[in-house]
Amino acid sequence: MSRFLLLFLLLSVVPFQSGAFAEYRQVLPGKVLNFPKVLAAHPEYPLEWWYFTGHLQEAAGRMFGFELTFFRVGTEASAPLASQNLMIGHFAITDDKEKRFVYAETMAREDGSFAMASSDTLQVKIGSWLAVLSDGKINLQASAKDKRQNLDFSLNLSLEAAKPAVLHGEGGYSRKGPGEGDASYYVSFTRLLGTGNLEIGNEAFEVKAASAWMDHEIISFEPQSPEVGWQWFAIQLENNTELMLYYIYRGEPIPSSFSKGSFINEKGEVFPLALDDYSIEVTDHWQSPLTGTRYPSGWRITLPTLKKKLFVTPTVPHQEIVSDKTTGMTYWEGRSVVEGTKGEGKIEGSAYVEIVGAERFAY
Amino acid sequence: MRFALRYLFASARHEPRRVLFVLLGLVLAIATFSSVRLTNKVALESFEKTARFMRGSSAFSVSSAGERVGIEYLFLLQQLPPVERVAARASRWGTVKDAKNTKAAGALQLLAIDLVQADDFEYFSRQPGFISGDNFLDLLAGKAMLVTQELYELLNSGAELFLDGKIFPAQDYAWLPLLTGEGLLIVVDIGLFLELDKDVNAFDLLLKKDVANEQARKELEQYLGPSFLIEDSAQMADRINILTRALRINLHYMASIALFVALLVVYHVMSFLAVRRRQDFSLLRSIGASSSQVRGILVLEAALLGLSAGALGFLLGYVLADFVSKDVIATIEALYAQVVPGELGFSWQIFAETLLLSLLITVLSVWPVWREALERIKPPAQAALSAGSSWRMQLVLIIPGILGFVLIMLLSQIELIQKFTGLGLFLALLISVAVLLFVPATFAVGLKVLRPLSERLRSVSLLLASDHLQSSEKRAFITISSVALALGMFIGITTMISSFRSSVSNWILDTSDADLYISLPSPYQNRFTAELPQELIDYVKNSPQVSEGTFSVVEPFRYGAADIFIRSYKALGAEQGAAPEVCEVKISQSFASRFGVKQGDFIELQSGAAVGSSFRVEETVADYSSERGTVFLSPECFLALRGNFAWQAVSLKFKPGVVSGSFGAKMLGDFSELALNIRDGDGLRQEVFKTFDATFKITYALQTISLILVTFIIMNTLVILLYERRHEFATLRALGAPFGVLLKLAVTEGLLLTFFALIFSLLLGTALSLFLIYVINVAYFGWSVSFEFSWNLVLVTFSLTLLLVFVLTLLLVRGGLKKNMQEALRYE
Repeated sequence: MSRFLLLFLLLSVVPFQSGAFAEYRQVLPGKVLNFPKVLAAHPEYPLEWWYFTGHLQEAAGRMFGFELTFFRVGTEASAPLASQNLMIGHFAITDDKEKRFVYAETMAREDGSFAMASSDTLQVKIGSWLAVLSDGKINLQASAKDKRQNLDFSLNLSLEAAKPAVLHGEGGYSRKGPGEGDASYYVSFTRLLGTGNLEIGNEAFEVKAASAWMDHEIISFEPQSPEVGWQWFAIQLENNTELMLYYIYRGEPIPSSFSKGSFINEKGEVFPLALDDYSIEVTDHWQSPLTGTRYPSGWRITLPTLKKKLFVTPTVPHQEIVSDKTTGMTYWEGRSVVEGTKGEGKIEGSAYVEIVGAERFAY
Repeated sequence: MRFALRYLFASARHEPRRVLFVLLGLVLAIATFSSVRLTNKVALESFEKTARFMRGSSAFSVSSAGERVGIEYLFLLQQLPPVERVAARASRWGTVKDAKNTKAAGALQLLAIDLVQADDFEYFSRQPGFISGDNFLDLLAGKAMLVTQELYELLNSGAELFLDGKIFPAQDYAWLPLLTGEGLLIVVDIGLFLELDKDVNAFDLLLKKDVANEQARKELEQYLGPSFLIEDSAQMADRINILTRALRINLHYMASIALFVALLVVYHVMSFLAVRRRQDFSLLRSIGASSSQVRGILVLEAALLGLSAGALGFLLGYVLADFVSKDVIATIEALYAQVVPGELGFSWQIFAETLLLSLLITVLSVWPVWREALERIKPPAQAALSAGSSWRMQLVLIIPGILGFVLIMLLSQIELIQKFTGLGLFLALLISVAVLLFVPATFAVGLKVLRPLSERLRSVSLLLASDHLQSSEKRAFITISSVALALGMFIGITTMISSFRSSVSNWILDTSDADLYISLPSPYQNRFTAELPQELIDYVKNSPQVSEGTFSVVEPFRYGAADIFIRSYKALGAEQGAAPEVCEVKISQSFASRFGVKQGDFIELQSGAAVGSSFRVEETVADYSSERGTVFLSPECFLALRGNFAWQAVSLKFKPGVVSGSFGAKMLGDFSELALNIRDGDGLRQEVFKTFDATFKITYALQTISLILVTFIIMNTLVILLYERRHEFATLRALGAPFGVLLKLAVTEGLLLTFFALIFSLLLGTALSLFLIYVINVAYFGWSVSFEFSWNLVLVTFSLTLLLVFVLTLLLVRGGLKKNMQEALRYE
């Protein structure tokens, strides 16, 4: 899953009244998702995204986090240059040591060259930002400037999947709302390993070990209520297992029944998690001085069936993205560390957490 | 110091009204200056913001000389190695129709830019993100558009947008918060715009990070070839500067005039203080105070007053600027195009400047008045002798005064103004010096003549008045100079405006004497973009009611790096032949002046199709349609230049008995799908005048300021005069002189002073209007108008000023006599 980020974007910018998306297909159960085609763009659906997050260790052991996201938004426009699709990108780096967080956003109309999303394979691009699957490797590349901090930063990674792709929900069909079409096709690479280069300002780092996560979701979503929020977790544990889980809120400050998760074991086998299989408690908060929003900043996740109790803590509290240039929304997306227990033993790991709607729901 | 302070506080407590009066004068003077400075700031900021709004922060802007550019170049430019991003930009004119669809409610400007990349190009850098969120995808899909507040309100009242004769298919309108003032502007995404038009005006380029500007320029020139104009941001800024040069000159000119008038008013006020204190200071001196101690009191008081007046004057100036800046923006919009208004805001720089200036001029003005404070009033005979002794010297001063005016006219050459924007300031300084030299000298001569005249007329009041004026000649000079300057400013500006209106009116009557004017939506300042369809042309050609008609076309054109207009006319029924080998063209005065072209010269008009066409200038003609400059071509030559074109408007004259209104109404019905603009001759003239009047809004504000100053200066002067003569009047009253006699004495002096001031204001006003018409106007618009002197204006101005003097004197004498009688008798 699940980046509900763009669900919110859609809520904000697309008119949903009477027959919106009528020209687009709906995400329905039963569709067989084939690789690598499922990783490519599906312009017959109104919205999709490619979400890369991960943890980077440079040669001297210093740790960083990254987020590189590409959104394709159908515009319903008919004009030649208005373009049928809009490409949006968000790019952020977290520097654990310096407690630094930089981010940038970009946007362009899909024109097949400057900005594009291939319908054949994983190949998305907005200017110099790109994510390409080639010879079994995923290459990520982006360079930008954090305008608020006036700081240039860039990332170049070559990643290889250490585990097979995961289809969440029912064979990739992941329901998010009461209607059958309120859903997404949701596929992930939960452990992408590789190396690369990172630059922040005048500092250049060689990334010795990158451990990334990719989500690709194809969305047709017509929410009943605009009051939507969520807390989403992508956890990579050191015992070579992963957890994806989320709480989704629909108008009420309690998790809705559409909250779901997946556990991926060492062999890459997927075990779906229902709302009853886990609980997420907020243990700490951080208030943004920029927007005033109070975000959760520490969690205790309990998974009785898996006999796991995990404590998730952000490495840097201020990983807030104020996206006033592209999507017009503000959210928190940050690198975190995981400590906990599995049965009697201890367990550690890393996570990426996304929080949307904190200004409306008291998480 | 402590003594001085104690004295001042006691004095202020004793006469609080006097302090308020003095402060009011100073505040008014400082407010005038600071309001002009603040307004300048708003105007200049508006230009900068508009340039940024339109062009963003692109490294280069690429356009084609004289042509629009096909959108296909977008993809070519995108592929060029130095280019990181490309954004297309287009600007068109359209019309808003009112709900009844019967007449044009207004012309609008359509700006199409790449909204998707707006942030990268920082088109809207002042308000990041304002186009994202709720409306963004609607904007891209053409379901919404960004409009100014005025247009937003208009559209909600049921009006419709017309562009190129089509109703623009936007379903919703989002208000554009950057443009909250008057004006009709819509901003749409370039993608949506391309549904209407496949051509754009320019491409903005962002370069890749490591590419140097010069290297990029070379590569772009190499790839694009010579037919493209590649401008960097500095060149783009230069173009804006050149376009707005004249307005900036005017603003500098106004600031310096305001400063000079402020200086005179401050002198007045300080002089008043000095005169009021004569008795006090004599007393202080007699009990042992040194002259420097007395001066210390004056300096301290001046400093305190200067600081208070500086702060209060700035505040009042801010309020004034708030009103005036709206007029300035209206003027700029009438002259150029819709602008993003600058923000008035608090400026520490101007506040500090005002405070410092206020302090400086109040303290400095102590020097000329402090001696006056220590003087006793001279008896008339002594004053006459003193005036007589300086008679020759005063006469000598007239010559440099006249030379000063000659020097101004010589220096007022347009080339110099074009070269040095600050020359406006220098010229104002020269005028000030000339006034200071010329007025006192001439006044002294006048007084010399007046004395024998009053003896011959046996007029005691005239004799006493001239004696008193001679005894306080320095202040009288300043009074006359300041009233003359302020009133001269009023007369000069008003004469210029009336000359302009008269010339424009004649021009309209000469060039637009038709009964009916028909065009498609989008006429604005003679920019026409819509084409008349053939069926409409046939309709008017075949109409038995039409006796004569003229088709016209006008298009914006690039002349070198400058924007001009080209225009052509053809009579109804005239045959169009082949273009001659050498085309002859007429040029407007503004074109001639802007590019230094004269009759017989050859000009090069380049178009994409025919590069390097040479045209001979047959004649220079008066044309007030645009300060950009217009070239008039025959239809044949227009066609040769443009490759193809269509007529955009037609003017018609009817056979006797035909009612033009009925013909127009029938045409509206027959061509209802075109939403025609149909105006009769009067309607057109009114519209043109409305536009011209808008360009003068800034001068209306100046007129008002000058009138306020005149009133204050006159009042201040009369108060001082009467104060000085209070003992004389009270004694006469005690001796049994009737009130009428005293009033006559006071009125005679007031009128005498005003009479001199009026004569000088007439001279100054005439000189100023000549200067505005033949120098500033030429620099402003590139044309001059016929100078027309209005005796009515002079009569009305003079009558009202004299009436003002009379009424004020009456009030002051009545009040003053009651108060001073006892004191005067004790004094005697």
